[in-house]
Amino acid sequence: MTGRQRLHSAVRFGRRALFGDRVGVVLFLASLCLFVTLWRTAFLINDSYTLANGLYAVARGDVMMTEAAYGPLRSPGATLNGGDVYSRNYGVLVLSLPLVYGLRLLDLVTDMRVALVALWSLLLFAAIVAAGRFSDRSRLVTSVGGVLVTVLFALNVWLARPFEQIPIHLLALQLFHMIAGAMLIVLVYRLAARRYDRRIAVLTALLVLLGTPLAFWASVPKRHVVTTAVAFGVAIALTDRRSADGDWAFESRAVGYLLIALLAWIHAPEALVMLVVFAPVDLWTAPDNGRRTLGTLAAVFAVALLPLFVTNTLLSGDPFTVPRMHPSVGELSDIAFDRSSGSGGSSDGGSQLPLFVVVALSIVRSALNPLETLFGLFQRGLVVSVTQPSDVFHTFVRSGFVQQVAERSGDAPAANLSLLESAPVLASAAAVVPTLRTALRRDDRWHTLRRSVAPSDLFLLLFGVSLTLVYISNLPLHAQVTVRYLFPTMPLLVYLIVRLPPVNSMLARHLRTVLWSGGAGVLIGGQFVLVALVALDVGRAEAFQFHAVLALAIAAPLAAWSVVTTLDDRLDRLGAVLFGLSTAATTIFVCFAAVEYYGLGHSHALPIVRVVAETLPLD
Amino acid sequence: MDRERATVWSVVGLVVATTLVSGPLVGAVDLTTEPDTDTLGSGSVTVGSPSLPAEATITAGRFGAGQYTLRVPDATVEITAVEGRPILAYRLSIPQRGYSRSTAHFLTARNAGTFSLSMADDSFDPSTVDRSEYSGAIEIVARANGSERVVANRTITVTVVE
Repeated sequence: MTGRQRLHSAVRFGRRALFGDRVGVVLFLASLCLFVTLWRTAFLINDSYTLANGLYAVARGDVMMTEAAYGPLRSPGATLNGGDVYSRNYGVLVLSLPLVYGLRLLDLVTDMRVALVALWSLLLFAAIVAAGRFSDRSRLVTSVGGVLVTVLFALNVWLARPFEQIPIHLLALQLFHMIAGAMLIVLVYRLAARRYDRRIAVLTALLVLLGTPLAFWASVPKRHVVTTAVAFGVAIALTDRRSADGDWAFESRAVGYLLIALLAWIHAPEALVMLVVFAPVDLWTAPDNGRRTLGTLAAVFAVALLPLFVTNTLLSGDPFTVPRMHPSVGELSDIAFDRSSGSGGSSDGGSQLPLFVVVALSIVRSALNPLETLFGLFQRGLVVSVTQPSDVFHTFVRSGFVQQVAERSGDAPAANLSLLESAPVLASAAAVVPTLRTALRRDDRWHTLRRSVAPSDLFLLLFGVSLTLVYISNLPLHAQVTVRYLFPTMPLLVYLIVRLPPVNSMLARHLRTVLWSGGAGVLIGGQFVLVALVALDVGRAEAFQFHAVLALAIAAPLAAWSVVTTLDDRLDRLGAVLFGLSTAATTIFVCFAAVEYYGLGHSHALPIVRVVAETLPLD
Repeated sequence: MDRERATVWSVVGLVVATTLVSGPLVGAVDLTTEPDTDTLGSGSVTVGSPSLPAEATITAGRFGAGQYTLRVPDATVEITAVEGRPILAYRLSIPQRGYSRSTAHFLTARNAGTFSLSMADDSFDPSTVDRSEYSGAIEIVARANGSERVVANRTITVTVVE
């Protein structure tokens, strides 16, 4: 092989491993392009200061935060140990380092604003050219795309204003999370493509991209999008080995544990929830649970946990105490674990016990402690769901005005949508009713059910439920925008809904109708929404509730359709239209939220978007 | 295929070249300079014939929003001369609520003529709105070179609309 050939095959292998195929590449580029379009280079949530300052410290080779490069040092989410202030999500900080170096390099040779515009233009052009390869007229697509991108680039540069100060560490964090968001779309596509043809797989990815508030959260340095991406990566690991007859069976299983261990480095509690669900599903459905296999898997998991242990040791001297176990700055809206007593193992163990027993005991105890807390949270979640149904209703169905939430948000306008209002397409989950009805009518019902629920489905379902149980007792909360704690459940649910046979067969037959109604919904419906909001002269809280009511107005018929879908095939076209419209409702909300409601002082990365935001009379 | 490749590389080349040429390393051209370099709040402004609204509203939230929204109509002034970048602030205070807010407008020479000053909406918790009417005061303040001058003021009735 010549060097060139070797390079080519390396590129092809990398593409397959990361994106699956060329469709995956197009989806990645297009998603990233959308996220950059809606990108605001400013702080949306206070605890992003914690991450930015943490990254600033890590980039200087320090785990402790000593200098407040952005905002206050003691921002929400920062943890205290003695008098020292530490950041959180160290995995994200370390993984964002290459981006910091890249941006610094870029800052040396370019004007950062022009560089961001160039990045966006190249992403858009790459997406257009890569998508054009699937058409018969790729030359035409390339030419038209080239002209379009050149014009947009020129227009953007013409409107560009310089940064007053370039928040390099924030930009790096946001870029990392946007890349994770784009990978999430690729992984959804790849998982769906394991079961269905490409068209359905692409549609599933589009439903997640445009039918959930992903585009809003992608540029916010929070864990939610990363956790979701990891969940889909793990689900793929659960799918591969069953189809491969032994080939790569062990490796893909190992990838699952590896991903969860790395997630623990970013957000240990959510990784624990994932592990608690993944391990039983994996062990139950694995082709081989031999002692050697399990031993190797445990070793892989332990090795992959090393970065977490190293970070913990640097922070507190104890490898098993994750940052979130330290006392935290400010009021706590995240789940937090009680301070573990696991580290005290050596003192009360006495000198009679051999050292390895003491170490083993301390490991067991530090593993049991978070588990105990986790199951306590599960239990509390269950109790709260039963005893406070109105809270659950506010979280899932209708947000409206909630006094306790408004009080905690202080003077800020109430801006919290429920899960269904954020993603009305989830109303189609009601199709589970006809699915079960059909399945249970059969004689071999249990066998059928067991065969048609894949391990990945089971994992995604259980993970969604567990995550909900963990957080539900604290919800509703302020500053959620779209119940962000439960964000991972939205893409999971969209995928699981597509897995339901009635929905699936409808999408396969009326794919075009879904796309057309979705496109028309965004382009035409978006204008109607704009006119309505301006004409009604809405305040901020009212604007949110307008979107909410609109979403519910589409969700209700969609839910009704989902229940009766199997009764009459002629209803399918109606279902397709409702699918498209509900996706459009979310897209419209996300665009308005990113451009207008949370313009963050017109800090849009793209000058064109900034000018649109300044022109619209809506803030 | 070759023509397509040429298109691709020329677009990419154009974008990259523009970015590099405008960067600090080459520095041939600066594409992102703001035209105004005057510091904000300096200079002077001459203002005449102000017209201020007599009524504002606090409206109950629609669509189940719950919160009340405060809306103040625009005020207009005739700006005859602007020098530098002075600030016109549009202010409202409601002593009965212990409340005040102001929206600043940054002027340039281009704003000469009739100029309307808007005030951003605000929202209130419903439990704090306990009257059907409040009386407040609005004023327009010109700020330049560290000093403030009240251009116009009047009392305003803030009506609560359920």
